[in-house]
Amino acid sequence: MKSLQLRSLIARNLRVYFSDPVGVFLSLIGAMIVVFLYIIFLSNMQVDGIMARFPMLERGEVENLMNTWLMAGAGVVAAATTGLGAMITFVNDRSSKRFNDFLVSPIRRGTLTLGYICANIIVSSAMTVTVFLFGVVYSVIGGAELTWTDFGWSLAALLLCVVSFSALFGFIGSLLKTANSFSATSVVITVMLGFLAGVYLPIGQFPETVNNVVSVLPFSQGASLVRSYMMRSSLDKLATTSKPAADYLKEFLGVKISVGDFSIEYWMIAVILGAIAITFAVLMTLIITRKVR
Amino acid sequence: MADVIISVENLTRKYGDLVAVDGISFSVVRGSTFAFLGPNGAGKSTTISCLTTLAPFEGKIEIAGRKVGRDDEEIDAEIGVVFQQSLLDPTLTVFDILQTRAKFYGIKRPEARAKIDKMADLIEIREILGRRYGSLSGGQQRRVDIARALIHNPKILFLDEPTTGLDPQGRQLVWETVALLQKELGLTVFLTTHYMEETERANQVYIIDHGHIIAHGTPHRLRAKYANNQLRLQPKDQTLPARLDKMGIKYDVKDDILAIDIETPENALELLDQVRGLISDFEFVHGNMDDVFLKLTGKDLREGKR
Repeated sequence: MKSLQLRSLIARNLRVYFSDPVGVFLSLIGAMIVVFLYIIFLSNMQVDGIMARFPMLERGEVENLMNTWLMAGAGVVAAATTGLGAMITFVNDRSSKRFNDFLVSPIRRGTLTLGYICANIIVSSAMTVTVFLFGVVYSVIGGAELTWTDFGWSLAALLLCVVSFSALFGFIGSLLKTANSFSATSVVITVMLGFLAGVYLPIGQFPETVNNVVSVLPFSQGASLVRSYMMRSSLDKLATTSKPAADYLKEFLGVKISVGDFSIEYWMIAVILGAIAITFAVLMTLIITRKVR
Repeated sequence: MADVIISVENLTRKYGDLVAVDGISFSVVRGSTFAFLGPNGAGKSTTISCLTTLAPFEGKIEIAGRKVGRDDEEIDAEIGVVFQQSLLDPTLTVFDILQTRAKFYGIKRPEARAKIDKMADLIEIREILGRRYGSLSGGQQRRVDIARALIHNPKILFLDEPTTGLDPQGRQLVWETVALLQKELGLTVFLTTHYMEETERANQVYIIDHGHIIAHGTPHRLRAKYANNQLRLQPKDQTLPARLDKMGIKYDVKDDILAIDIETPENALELLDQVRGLISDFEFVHGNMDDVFLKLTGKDLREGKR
């Protein structure tokens, strides 16, 4: 009975979300916009900056590196923003009191929460993978190298981000009571995320304190994990020309992050993301379980 | 002792300093229709929220022998709720909505289809099964709400102001449906309303105001106790008021009509005999629940009407 309930809740949430095609389309565009902005405005500037610092590098290789860097970041931003975006179903359900219809059904509140989180994960995965595949195709056509293994691992890392951020933003969404507060929150979070994940600007361009703060947050960590696979081949190639340049860029671009002297290892990131998923799923259940008003 | 299916003792619900429901107690007999009557803000919806496991409360509520607050899941399986607003998924089709809701109760697809099929004829929603809920008229949405509330064969149906916002035809249809279902399925019906005429079909009426129960009984008893019959006379000329004054009968004048509170039709006939030559027309009006409410609260129920 529990699994039947859960399946029907997930199916219902997905149906409701996708019954607004314009909203789905805009959410996807919102996630892709980083990619387009970068390609149009920022790409050359970043490449010029790196070339000025390391003139011995080949321009084409740096361009490939920056493409993979950006696409990894875009994927992480997509994972976060679409995870929040899917919570619109919950916010609408509650502000319209439709939620009460679920509460008078014999459904455990935990099942109810899981229904939203799972639907969020499915929606977010679909959108994120779309953005990611677009990014991969763009980088590879541009000449970047990406092995199948690295592709597989970047995708897996990205999906871990999806699960983690779906729970995190599911929790934030469960605190919002109206569609208005929801859209305001989405705007603020979406804008901030590009910086917090070190996507609009490389993390190495931040002042040191900011760099440390951003590195503590799971967004730059998720990005770091995805980049470690996505950019591996490009970085290896650069290292054959100049090892110091490759090492410097690893930190400058947030492939390897640290807080002060403490280096954040990739396995730690995986554990942190997993812990976030569980913690916020539980918190969200508690919020939803409260009998209010 | 009658077969009690809902029992409420000392139910209290506070919002901060405001006491919405203040220590009310009542019980509902299985298979009966129980009406909660009161103006907006009297505490009707709050009471329903507590009964339907939605809101926290002080006091004790038992439904079908189970305790609200402890056995919510079991209780949820026994009750169906029609909310004040029609709030099902506006972008989904009626069929999808009903099928999803059926699964909440562990009803699998083939069985759910059979259920919906049966409901489609009973509640007359067959022709709208494929339409989006949001595109339906208020009356059609209401019928879908009722179908949804009954999808799992509950024992008790809660209706929170089910006809608010409907046109008279829609209201009529809703009540016919509910009456039919009650007979067909042996339901206990718990309803709130601020329309007097809708309480006339109830077995028990509880009148609530400012969170307190101020009167209860069968509609008949309440009318007999609190509502006066009225005899309205249209005088031919000024001799009628003079005659009534002389007889010591009190009356109100409104638009040339003299209205006299009178106990029984018998009394009315006697009076009519005495003033026969002085009137051009008369009307005997039975006391109704409006009068009951007016008498009890000192205010017209319609003031509370939206």
